[in-house]
Amino acid sequence: MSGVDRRPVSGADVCVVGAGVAGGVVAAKLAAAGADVVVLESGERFDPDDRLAQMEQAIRPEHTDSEIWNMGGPRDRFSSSGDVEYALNERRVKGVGGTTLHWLGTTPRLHPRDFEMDSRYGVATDWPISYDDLRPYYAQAERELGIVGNDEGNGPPRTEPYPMDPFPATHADGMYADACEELDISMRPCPQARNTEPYDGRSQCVGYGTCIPVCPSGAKYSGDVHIGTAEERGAQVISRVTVEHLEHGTESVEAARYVTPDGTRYRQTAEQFVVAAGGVETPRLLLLSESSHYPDGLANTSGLVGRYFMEHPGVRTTARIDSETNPEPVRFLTRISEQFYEGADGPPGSILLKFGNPQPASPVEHALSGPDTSSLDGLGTALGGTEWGEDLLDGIDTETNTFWIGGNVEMLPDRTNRVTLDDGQTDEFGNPVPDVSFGVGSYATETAEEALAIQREILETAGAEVTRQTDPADPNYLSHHMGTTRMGADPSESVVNPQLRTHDVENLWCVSSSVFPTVGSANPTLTIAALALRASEFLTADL
Amino acid sequence: MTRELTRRDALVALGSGAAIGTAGLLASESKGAGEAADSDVIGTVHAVAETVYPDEVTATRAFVRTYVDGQSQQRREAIAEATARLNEGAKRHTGQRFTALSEGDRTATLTRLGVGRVESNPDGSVPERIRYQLVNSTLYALFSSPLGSELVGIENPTGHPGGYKSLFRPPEGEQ
Repeated sequence: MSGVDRRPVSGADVCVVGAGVAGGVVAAKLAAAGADVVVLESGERFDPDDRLAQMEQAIRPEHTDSEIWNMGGPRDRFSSSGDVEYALNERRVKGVGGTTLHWLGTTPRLHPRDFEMDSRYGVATDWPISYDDLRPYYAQAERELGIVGNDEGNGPPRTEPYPMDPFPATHADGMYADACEELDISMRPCPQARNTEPYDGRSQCVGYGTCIPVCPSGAKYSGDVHIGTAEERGAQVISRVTVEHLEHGTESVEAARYVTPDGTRYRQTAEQFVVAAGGVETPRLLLLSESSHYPDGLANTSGLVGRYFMEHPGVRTTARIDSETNPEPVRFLTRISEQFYEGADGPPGSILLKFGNPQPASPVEHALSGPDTSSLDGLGTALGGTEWGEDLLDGIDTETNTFWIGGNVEMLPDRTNRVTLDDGQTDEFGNPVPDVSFGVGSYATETAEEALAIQREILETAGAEVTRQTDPADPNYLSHHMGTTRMGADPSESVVNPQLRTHDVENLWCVSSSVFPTVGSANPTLTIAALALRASEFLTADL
Repeated sequence: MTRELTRRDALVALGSGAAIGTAGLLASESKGAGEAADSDVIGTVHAVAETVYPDEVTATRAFVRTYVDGQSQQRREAIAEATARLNEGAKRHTGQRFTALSEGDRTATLTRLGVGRVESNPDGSVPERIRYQLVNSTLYALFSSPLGSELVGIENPTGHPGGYKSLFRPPEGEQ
């Protein structure tokens, strides 16, 4: 859009790179502390007034999810060179709000064991902080984001109630529960950032059913909530500017150099710089910011920037049952199990089970799917495929007789799994793209096999016939990008310290899932928010 | 007896009918603000809806107007353009505007224009745009509202803000 002022802000105390949950929380907290904050975001600012139109696009089969949030394209080019052919842009959103614009909203906490994997089991590494260190920030994050849940069933220790009551159980949940009771497996309401009542000025869930990719009511939290708070407190957000280099001396960053859509380049100066750009773009920016001082990339004396990339493999078992499961489309999770979260001195490692809510066939999708042009014979009756009028509803069967259980699977950090720069390919601004290279590893594969066996046992106990299982060696990946600027006390073994400040550069911070030393099997966003709240206190003390 | 789709049903299809006080209502109102669609446009969209809907439901002009006026200006222009192309095609083949045709001739006209044989595409050829902006949009409006989805047993279809509690009902005959 012409006429938008994308020039740098003078006198900024803090420059935040990235306007997702992490950047939003940091910006809101620092602005509240009186700091002059500027946020630089590569993606656009989506108009909240467009959410209903986006929902129509999401429901109609003529559109793809990536259209709705402008995902992919020249800005987001990447390469994938490892064992896993990785679809980086499938669920990653660049925009004011980040990937939470598109997420499902599932927000379990990590468990204490995730912080002590080396001490307990002799695998991977310990975090330099404990669950107890993060615990008050988890509670604060749950209040900030608006999390529903309760204390049932094998969750990590907590003393504070969830801010909101959980969603009730669906009919399918009841069928899973009968089987789990027989097998002595605990279930619990899924903790999630989706309001069961009006909360923090946002609507309760009204059941649109398009959580992924878009929530029109605002009942699902997304990072633009905190960005809005930050702006109310005086922070300035510049969208559609891509930071391509952090200019620095030996000990400090001086400016973030960014490029606007028309190719104009500016320098944003500040006292402190926070890179909050996720597990891929955060290490990429440090690597792009190489210099004579840091020839291998900024803050990379350890050589670990980009290493230890982790994901959450996801595996699913689908089954068929004689009775109807859910008659209405519930398109979010309502029950999970953390019974198998702890693992042991595995493999198998940690597993978080997700009890699927099966969907009846969508009448919109059926009616709009259009003609099957492959079968057209060019003759008269042949409108082909789905007709309209009286024939419109022929063939649609909305009775749901399927079941599925999914599982998040723990993957261990492996030094050879990494994000690097691919000098052979550039983005729209001429900068090398990130290359994501990783393999799933035997620990995760064996954990996935265990998850599939548990899923099968539950479903068969429920009286269902298993029809499909994920190949444990070729799982789905849940778009949780983690581990690439790991946190630690030892500068030779980590990129950021326990406060999330880089060991090498005194005014440079990484606030992102990139700092996770290990990942358990819990979805990462609540931990990202908790770490952002904690880091904000250290940043505030430095202002 | 057929069920009649009203303005209220169209508000539902726009995602605002039952969500009083939500961002959805505000959004649909603000996006729909401005100049209302031309009466000829509404008449043509209404004629398309009458043609493509199952006999169990009947769309009123108010239903169609509410849906169309609830769209962004850009979408309304695209819908208007598609109605112009449809009427041109109807005149070419029958000598009359689409709205003046019997239901049988309307179906025949859509068929002759190739609308039933193409992929729906807002940026495509004329029949592809007619399919997207008129046929599929009116079908979307119908089946994202309970009056459409209840034809296949779904009370709170995806896209309808019927409240999350309605999503949790058990199957018929179950507790």
